[in-house]
Amino acid sequence: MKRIKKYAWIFDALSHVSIATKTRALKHFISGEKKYMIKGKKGDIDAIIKCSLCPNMCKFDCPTFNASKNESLSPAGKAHLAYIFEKGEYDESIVKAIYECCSCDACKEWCFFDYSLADLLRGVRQDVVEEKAVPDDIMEIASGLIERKTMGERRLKEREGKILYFAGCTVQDEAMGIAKAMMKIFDSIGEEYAVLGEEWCCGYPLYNLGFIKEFKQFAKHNADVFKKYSMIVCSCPTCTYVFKQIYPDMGFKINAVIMHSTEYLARMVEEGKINVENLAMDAVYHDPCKLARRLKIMEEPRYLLRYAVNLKEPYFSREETRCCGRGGQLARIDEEISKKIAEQRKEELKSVATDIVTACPSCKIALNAYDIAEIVAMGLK
Amino acid sequence: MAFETIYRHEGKLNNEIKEKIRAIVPDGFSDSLADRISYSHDYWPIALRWFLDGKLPSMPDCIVWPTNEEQIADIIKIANQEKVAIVPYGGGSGVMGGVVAIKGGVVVDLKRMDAVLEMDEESLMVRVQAGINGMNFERWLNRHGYTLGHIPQSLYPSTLGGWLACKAAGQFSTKYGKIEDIVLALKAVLADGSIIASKPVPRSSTGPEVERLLLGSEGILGIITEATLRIWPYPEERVFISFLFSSLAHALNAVRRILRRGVYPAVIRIYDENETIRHFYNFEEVKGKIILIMVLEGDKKVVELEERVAREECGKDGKELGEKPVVHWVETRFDVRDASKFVPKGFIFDTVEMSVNWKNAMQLYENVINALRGIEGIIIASAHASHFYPQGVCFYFTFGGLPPRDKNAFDFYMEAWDTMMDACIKSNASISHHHGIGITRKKWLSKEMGKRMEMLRKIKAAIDKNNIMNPGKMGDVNEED
Ligand SMILES: Cc1cc2nc3c(=O)[nH]c(=O)nc-3n(C[C@H](O)[C@H](O)[C@H](O)COP(=O)(O)OP(=O)(O)OC[C@H]3O[C@@H](n4cnc5c(N)ncnc54)[C@H](O)[C@@H]3O)c2cc1C
Repeated sequence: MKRIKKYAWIFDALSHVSIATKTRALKHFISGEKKYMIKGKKGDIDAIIKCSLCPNMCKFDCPTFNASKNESLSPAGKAHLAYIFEKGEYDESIVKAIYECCSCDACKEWCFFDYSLADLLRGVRQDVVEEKAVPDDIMEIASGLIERKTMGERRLKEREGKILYFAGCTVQDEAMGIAKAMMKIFDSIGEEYAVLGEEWCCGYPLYNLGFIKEFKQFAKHNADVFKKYSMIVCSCPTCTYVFKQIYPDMGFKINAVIMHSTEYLARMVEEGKINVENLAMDAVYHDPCKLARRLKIMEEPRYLLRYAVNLKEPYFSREETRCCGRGGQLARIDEEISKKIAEQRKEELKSVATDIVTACPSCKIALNAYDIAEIVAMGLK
Repeated sequence: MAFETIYRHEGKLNNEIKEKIRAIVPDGFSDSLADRISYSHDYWPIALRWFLDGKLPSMPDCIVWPTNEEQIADIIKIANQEKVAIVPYGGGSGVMGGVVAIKGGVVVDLKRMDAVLEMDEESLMVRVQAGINGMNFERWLNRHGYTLGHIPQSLYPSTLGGWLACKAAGQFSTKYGKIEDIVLALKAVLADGSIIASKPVPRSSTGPEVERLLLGSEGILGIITEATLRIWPYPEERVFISFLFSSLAHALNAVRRILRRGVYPAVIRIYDENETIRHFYNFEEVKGKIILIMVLEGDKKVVELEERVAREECGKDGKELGEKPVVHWVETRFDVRDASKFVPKGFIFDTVEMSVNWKNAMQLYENVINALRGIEGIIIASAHASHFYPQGVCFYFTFGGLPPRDKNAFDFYMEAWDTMMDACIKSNASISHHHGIGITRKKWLSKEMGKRMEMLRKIKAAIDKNNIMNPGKMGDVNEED
């Protein structure tokens, strides 16, 4: 009924036209777009067309666009190029643009279709993989991960326990301070936590870059390993998101309770298992995109930080946060743009407080920030 | 890769010239296929259809992203030596094909020149570079307690330079003015490479304001790089009003009387019958009626008084509908999904704005709508009025339809335009209120301008001797308009 009302203006307009036009209009209205669809593609062609025909109403908030000022790296610009790719007309520059996305979902915040360009591009990237058109540097990221099962070095030692602490590749490779902080907190609580000797990546980079078949192998492996545990605490919002949402969506159900570290820590504070003293420092909180926009975890970090620091809010916060530049493997795909995005965000945060706190290892590295776990560990009473 | 282009050019820009240009902007140069495709179009509606059909309007040879005026001047110098085209590019949200590089050449994207340079809160003005994005600029001002009051529906994708170059009008324009009322001073690099700047003072009587020739110039005279703009304290109070009328004439009259009494609501929008049910289908009462919505804003005490006047005048012939329809407008005013939904289905559409005096307003509306309805294949012919003056109003017409079987999309599209422009000129209205000329309107400009067209050509020829600035558009010395 609501739909009929919504299109009443069309029926009103049709009342003025000839029968021939009326008949054709109805036919086109029902199935006119068929001729522009391309069969057999993983990319959602209908959505890509719709996005590409939009006047780019979200681009002012797109990090790759803001850092480059290049229309090719704007959301509708990328959708435009993606459609051209799907039609089979492309060169390397077009394929490259299809990978220039932080998957931060800033675009989705403004989209009346509720599209996330990252989601749309992910389908197209599966077609890029199928076409064997993946650029060499991106192929290297994928094949390295497929071979080594992790994005970098593993530094944590195996241990047994009831709940699993899943640090994630970025923590192990580049932000061990977070893992150390978490372990200090676990110890102070007396939590019996396990660490995997050979932690496999959650697989997100493969999922994101279009290597779905390979991603599923990671999902299967991890789902099997996780069966032993009742709870999994992750330091990385992306791992949390992948375990909570993508694995089940792809048929890999996890029975364990999946928690991001901030959820776990907030619960521990609430239950009185940890006490945090105020560190008497001004700190501004940066919401990681995946945590705020996909997992809607915005209160727990603030709850914790209100205990530990003099919490400041940036202008762009919560779901209106801005990407740190490292989302969607951008740091490896386009280091220059990734760094520019980080600089822009850092500048904005620093104008609020000299110390930045976040809840994601990638954001921590990009913004030279503390992770909440580190703050909590410092303030442990 | 061979893409079919609508406007073909010989591609005078060889590698040697490209290298010279690259040397000026080493970090801001591209001739990649992806970028040339992305910069081949703006938001010209017919080009959306072409895109789906695998055609591009035209292909520039390269794109540059300068960061200062000197780089622009150096690029222009080379363009003059080598006789290659320069096309300024802001946000690419123009709807007239203005940025289409008909003759190829160099697209100059201004967006890396987007700094807010200084704000004078006492004098209520701000100096800012022309490549700044509209929304990012407005957000910056809001953070500091101000507004520009220039909120076009394309606020999100457009730039300050584009607003100035097209003489844009925001949706809050009845109170805050159009961009030419908001701009105090300009800086630009002209077609001969010289850099000009005017003084940011409230007014001066110092001969013709030559820099104002750049307002509405659409890139044919030079590149606007900076502007000083008036700003307003962020409104303390905002009031939403809506009324229903039994006829368009009654609604227009109510607004005319409000302005006559010296009250300037920021937003005033009157929708004809079709657009009323299109945009306000959620409200039972609107069927067969004309809706008028208003936003009054500013100082609390002033707004209180304005509200009283507005209600009094609207109440004479209209029925109050409360603030909900206005809230609905606020929430959906950036929803532009229809193009994405209907273009792939094969429908052709465009929006055409015209400016007319009160005396001729109803006649213009009726002439244009009736003329459109006479075209085989036109399904939607509707309008709203959204910019008002004590002297008159801007009508914003929308047409949409399906080309008959024996007609191609472009011919159908141009038939609709021809018909509307003809009806417009016959109704003593101006052919454009704020979208500008670009490619679509070029052929009617002489009719609109009369002898002034010759003057424009002479000015263009004097400043742009080699016809390098956005050639093929209005005032081109080598072409009959
Ligand atoms: C959904 C939608 C809604 C719109 N709503 C409105 C509205 O409410 N009001 C309105 O007025 N318009 C509106 N427009 C039209 C358009 O957004 C405006 O014309 C806007 O001013 C264009 O700005 P831009 O930065 O995108 O310019 P572009 O499209 O990049 O360029 C437009 C023209 O200006 C020239 N140009 C751009 N920058 C410069 C510069 N720095 N120096 C010299 N020349 C330059 C270009 O060469 C071109 O000829 C709308 C468009 C869309 C798609």
